[in-house]
Amino acid sequence: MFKSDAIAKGDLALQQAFPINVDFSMTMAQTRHNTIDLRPSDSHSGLNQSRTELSLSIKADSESDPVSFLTYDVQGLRSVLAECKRLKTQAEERKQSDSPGDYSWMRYYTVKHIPVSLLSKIPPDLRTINKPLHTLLSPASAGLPGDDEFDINLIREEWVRSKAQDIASRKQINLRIRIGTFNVNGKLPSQDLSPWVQGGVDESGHSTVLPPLQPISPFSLGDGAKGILDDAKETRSETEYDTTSVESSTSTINSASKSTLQSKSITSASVRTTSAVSSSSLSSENTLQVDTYAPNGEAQAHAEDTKSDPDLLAFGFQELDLSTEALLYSSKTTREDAWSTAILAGLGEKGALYEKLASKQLVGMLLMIFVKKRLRDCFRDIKVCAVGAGLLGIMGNKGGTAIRLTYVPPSDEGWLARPVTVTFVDAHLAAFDEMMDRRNADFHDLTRRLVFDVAANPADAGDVALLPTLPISIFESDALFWMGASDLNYRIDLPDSDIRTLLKTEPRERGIETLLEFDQLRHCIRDGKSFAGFTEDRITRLPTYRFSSGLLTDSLGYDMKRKPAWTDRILYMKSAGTDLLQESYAGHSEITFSDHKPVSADFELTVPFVDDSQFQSAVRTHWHQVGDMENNDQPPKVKLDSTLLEFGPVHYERDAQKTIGLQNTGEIPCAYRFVPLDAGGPIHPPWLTIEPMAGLLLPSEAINISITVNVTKESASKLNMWTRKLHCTLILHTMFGKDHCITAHGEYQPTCYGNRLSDLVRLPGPMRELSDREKLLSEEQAINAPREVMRLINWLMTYAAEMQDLFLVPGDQDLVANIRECLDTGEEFTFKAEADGRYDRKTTIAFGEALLQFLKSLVEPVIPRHLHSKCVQINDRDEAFELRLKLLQVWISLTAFLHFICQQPSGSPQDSTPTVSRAQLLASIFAPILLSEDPSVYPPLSPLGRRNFLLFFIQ
Amino acid sequence: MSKQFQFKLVLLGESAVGKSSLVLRFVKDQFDDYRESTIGAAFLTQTVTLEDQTTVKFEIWDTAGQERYKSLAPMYYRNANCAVVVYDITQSASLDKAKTWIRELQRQADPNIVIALCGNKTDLSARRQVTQEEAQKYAEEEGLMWGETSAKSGEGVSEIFTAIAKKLPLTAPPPKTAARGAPGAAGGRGVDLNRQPAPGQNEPCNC
Repeated sequence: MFKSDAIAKGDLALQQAFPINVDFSMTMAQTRHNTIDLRPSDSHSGLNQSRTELSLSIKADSESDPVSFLTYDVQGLRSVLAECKRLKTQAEERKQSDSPGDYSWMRYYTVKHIPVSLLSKIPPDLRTINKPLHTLLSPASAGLPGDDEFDINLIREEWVRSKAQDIASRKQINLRIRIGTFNVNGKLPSQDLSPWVQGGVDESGHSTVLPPLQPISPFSLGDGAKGILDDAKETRSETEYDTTSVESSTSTINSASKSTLQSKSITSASVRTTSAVSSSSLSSENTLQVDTYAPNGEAQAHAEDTKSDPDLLAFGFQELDLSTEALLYSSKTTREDAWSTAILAGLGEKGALYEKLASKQLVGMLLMIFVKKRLRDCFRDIKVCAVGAGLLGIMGNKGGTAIRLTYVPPSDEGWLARPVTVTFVDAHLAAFDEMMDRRNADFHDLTRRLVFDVAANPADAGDVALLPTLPISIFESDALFWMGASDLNYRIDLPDSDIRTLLKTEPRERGIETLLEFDQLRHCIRDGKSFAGFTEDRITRLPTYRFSSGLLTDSLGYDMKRKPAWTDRILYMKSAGTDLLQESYAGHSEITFSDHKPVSADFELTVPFVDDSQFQSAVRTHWHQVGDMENNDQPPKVKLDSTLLEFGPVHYERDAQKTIGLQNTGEIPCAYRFVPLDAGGPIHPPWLTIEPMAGLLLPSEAINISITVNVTKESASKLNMWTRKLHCTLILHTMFGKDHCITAHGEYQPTCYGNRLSDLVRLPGPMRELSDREKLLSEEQAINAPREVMRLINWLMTYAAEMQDLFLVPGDQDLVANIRECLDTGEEFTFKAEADGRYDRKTTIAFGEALLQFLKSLVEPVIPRHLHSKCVQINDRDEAFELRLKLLQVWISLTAFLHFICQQPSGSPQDSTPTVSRAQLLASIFAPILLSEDPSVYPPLSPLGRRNFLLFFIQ
Repeated sequence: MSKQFQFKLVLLGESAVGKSSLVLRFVKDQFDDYRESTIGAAFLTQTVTLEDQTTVKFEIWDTAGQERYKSLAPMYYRNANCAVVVYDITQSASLDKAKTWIRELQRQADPNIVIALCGNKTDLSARRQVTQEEAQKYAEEEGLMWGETSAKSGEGVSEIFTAIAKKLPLTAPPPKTAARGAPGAAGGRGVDLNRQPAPGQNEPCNC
């Protein structure tokens, strides 16, 4: 029994099969109404009424219920009956009623449906799509195959998707996105927001926007804007604005209108755009009715739509409203209107180009999306949601709001692009330093509960057959912006005094770098506790919290009662096919009315323009080639052009690469994957990588698999003293086929990098000559400091002491490798001195770098970790010198050398940081290495304490 | 309803004794004069139906005989319910190698593993170096099943696998291997019943 296929139109799909054997029976009759009507609906037309309707009932055996069919086709029915009779006679002759029969021929009629996920316009979940394919496959190992069918499905889908995308890609879609986040502390906009909403402003002064204006407010910008306020007052008896704020705003009208040229343009823009806001806002039930004003022609003339302007603006607010009643769900949107007016005003004359597309508020949290008016129709399928995560988990004082939308660029030369899906989340997580676990719990709670209802707007979803049955998660996007990172409330895990000192005394960049190492959010991302898979751009701004205007502030304006922190963040997650270039990430200290500073980020999103109809047909074509590959009689056959890889000598941190040709020599498609030798074990050793780890080949197709060997500092520590032989066996498993073995060999060249000092002092000669760990000297025979580090220090002492930027600039990696090789082989350094007996700058800097890299590679830092907590508490030099170190010689030589170079006159006029002594600079570089942090210790020890300890020795 | 069992079977033995040919004959009833040597391990399945309608599905791992892959063999014989250790009757050294494999299996594999010693290439009996008596005596001493086959002519092939199926503990189904899906490149075609030895015929094995 066949049925027309809903997806692959025109194809027939097998629905049910009836074996024709001795128990098979069928009866024919005139129409009955309790039968399944399979006629196409148009056959009900009057013309057909007169024709005889016949029903056919089939019973597979005496126990099963009959299945009936209706038809008008007497001729067709006659042939069916004749054939069934013939087959039944045959069956009776054989009398093998209990024979199971062979149904393998049926698979030609049961081609699997194309998985809905391949054709769906809803992007796959970012949390899985970004994981390497091989990590999603079933557990398997040599001799214990996994679920090959399951694995084929994953590999095949990925293959079809990428092939179809390649074929259907025409050019690129660009979407410029600006994101802003601001915890407004319950305040209303009382200042020009242009530095923030125009984004791109770097605190370091590369400003494209005029300096901050005097405190102004959109309410002060002219009669039009004032009208909104009046209107609000009239229409809503209980206005939420406190009168003082209103009065202070209005009192500045005169000064503002008389001020700069820019404020004028803001004025006109704000007047114009109010109408756009009210007419287009999606939150229709929330829209405040305002009078509309005639567009200002002059402003329009000035507003020029340039490519560099963002196409979409997303602004997230937190603590929009701190009033008590606001803790309960509130539907009042006066504040939203105030802020959206202020934002459009802040855009200056460009404000005329934008309109509000969507917004979602949950008490204190508000997310608003503005888009260029000319692109308005390109943004579709807009969905919003909000969940509370605060008191009792349902109140809205903490939580998140989210907006999801798709963007289809204007159709081009008849092509229609597959939509790009972008999701924005604005979240406010639990406060206070010690509540990190609560914040992480809030995050996970939000990611689970922030879902978009599918049924809300089925018209936008297109093909009904492809509608998902489950709510859409925020992760089902091409790009997800968690600007909710807006007040994420993650703090810095350092003592208050450390933070303030570092911010005040360090050069800004270095101070920020140091503090960021103790940033809770970064630790959580690194440890996978929350925001796993999210990316955040480098932070170059000062902490954005907490500012106050009272007396209790430090010289940077931070509240003395709260530790400064980067509470306001913008993070993102994107699919592999999406390019997201972050062009700015800045705080805006000019805006001072809240206890937080607003933060902005500019992105350029680029995705391939994939023509939808071409994509759909490419998916079908490719699916046809591989859709049935698991149902084959013959096993897949592949050929490897080599199964033995000889890498020869393998050096520390140097890539060696070989490729293997893999060809499908069979007649059916073949999927492959690498599997570990032992269940649960690694697929390859840490010093080797395979690319690609899984894939699919059509008959006679060939690909290259590259195998790269690289011994990093982590692997080196496990190889150096232990083995010279690199050997491994890789298992390439073909689905439903063979396991192929590939063996790789290499001769590791041990290095003095990546060892313990206590082992290095027991080396009888150069590292390279050590054949066996047994040959190490006994502890009693050990020398007092490793030769290698002493050679470096001696060289630097002789030739580099006067080099002012030694250790401050990176060295040439080839020279560093050359120096390392000499240390390992015990040979003399091969560099040529200049006429005056000195060495060139490049060589000298490389020696400094070689020393730093050596110290960084040590398994245990020069100051053993168990002493660190003691070190950071030491308060005077004498106490510091009393500390008993086992390998004192290395420490003394190093600190003596650093002390020596600090004593050198600093003759360089280019010294950009005269306020910081060379000793302090060197301490900030060496302390984190010589007393390197133990990542398992939490909270980490004070970086200032480490530096001070080192300073006792080198100052 | 007839019972169904599933067992993991591994083939071991020196290179070029005909392990892959034996499997090909058993699974597909085919023979290739020129087969490339196995690199790694091949996985196939075949189902044997016994007289009492019990079906035994073999998951067969055909391993590489070359010395350089020897270290991988444990991956394939671990969890195996039965092993067929193959030698070439025209090469006496291959029996020595087979004995090494048997010792390794007795030491390292599952203690309940059923081991069958199989002398292949009886079609070349003119060049025979290993007598039936010698091999049979060794098998008796070690408590192994024994049989001779020719993958080329098909002689003795299905018999030895059927004998193994009968010998396996068919009281309780063995624990399933990690294979969750339905691995089986060979599909589910049954053994040709016409080719099965009639009851009462001489057992090819000494067990």
